[in-house]
Amino acid sequence: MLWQDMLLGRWVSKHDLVAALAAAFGLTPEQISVVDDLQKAPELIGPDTSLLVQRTRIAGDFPLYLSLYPRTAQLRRLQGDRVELGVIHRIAAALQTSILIGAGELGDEQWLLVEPDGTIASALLDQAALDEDRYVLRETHSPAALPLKLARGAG
Amino acid sequence: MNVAADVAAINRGDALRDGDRYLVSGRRYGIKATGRLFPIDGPGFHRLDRGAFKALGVYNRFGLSARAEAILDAQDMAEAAREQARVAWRAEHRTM
Repeated sequence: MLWQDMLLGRWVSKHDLVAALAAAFGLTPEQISVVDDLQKAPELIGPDTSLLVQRTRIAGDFPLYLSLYPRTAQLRRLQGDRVELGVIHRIAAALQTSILIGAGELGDEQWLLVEPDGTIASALLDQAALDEDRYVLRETHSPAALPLKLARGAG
Repeated sequence: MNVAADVAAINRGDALRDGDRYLVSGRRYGIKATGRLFPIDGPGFHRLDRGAFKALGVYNRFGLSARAEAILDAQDMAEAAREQARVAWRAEHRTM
């Protein structure tokens, strides 16, 4: 699934993050738990938690790495490029920031950059920086050359 | 397993080459368009899916412990992914 790991172009508060994720996934804020340290996750999870989110600060162009863990069958069924990109677009639009996601298998070097206006571009990262755990954009391909462009508010 | 030695052997031209694949010490590597090597399979390599990769991160930090399982419960991590990760974790810690 594309949406379970995403890198955001700016750091956002827990409050803003929860609001954006709740709107994107159709959840209430109370159904989302955000942790910065996984060690605290077991104590934060309640019977109504549908989505666990780990927030990690990283170096490079995308300071916020989000790992999302769906805890309901409904969220786990959320897949398919168009559906997933629609969700990511809604998060990007709500937070007004670019979102970078892996577009291939684990360890692949294929990335997509989703902009708040729904533009999607394939992206290349600086490999030398990546070896140092820094996510730095090297280039993006022209959005017009891509088959996917979400209409404003689509999803 | 010594990946650095494998890479050195490939760079010296000592590995068997088949198109964009290299075989050295029983391990297969591929080469991307960017020129970067990546492991494919062979002794010491464990293929992990995303869930197992995440689970391995938890085991690497907390060991095979009750705390690790509680965190994986919080993530609602599937048992199959945990077991994949435990196999890789045990293999790594056996050789240390």
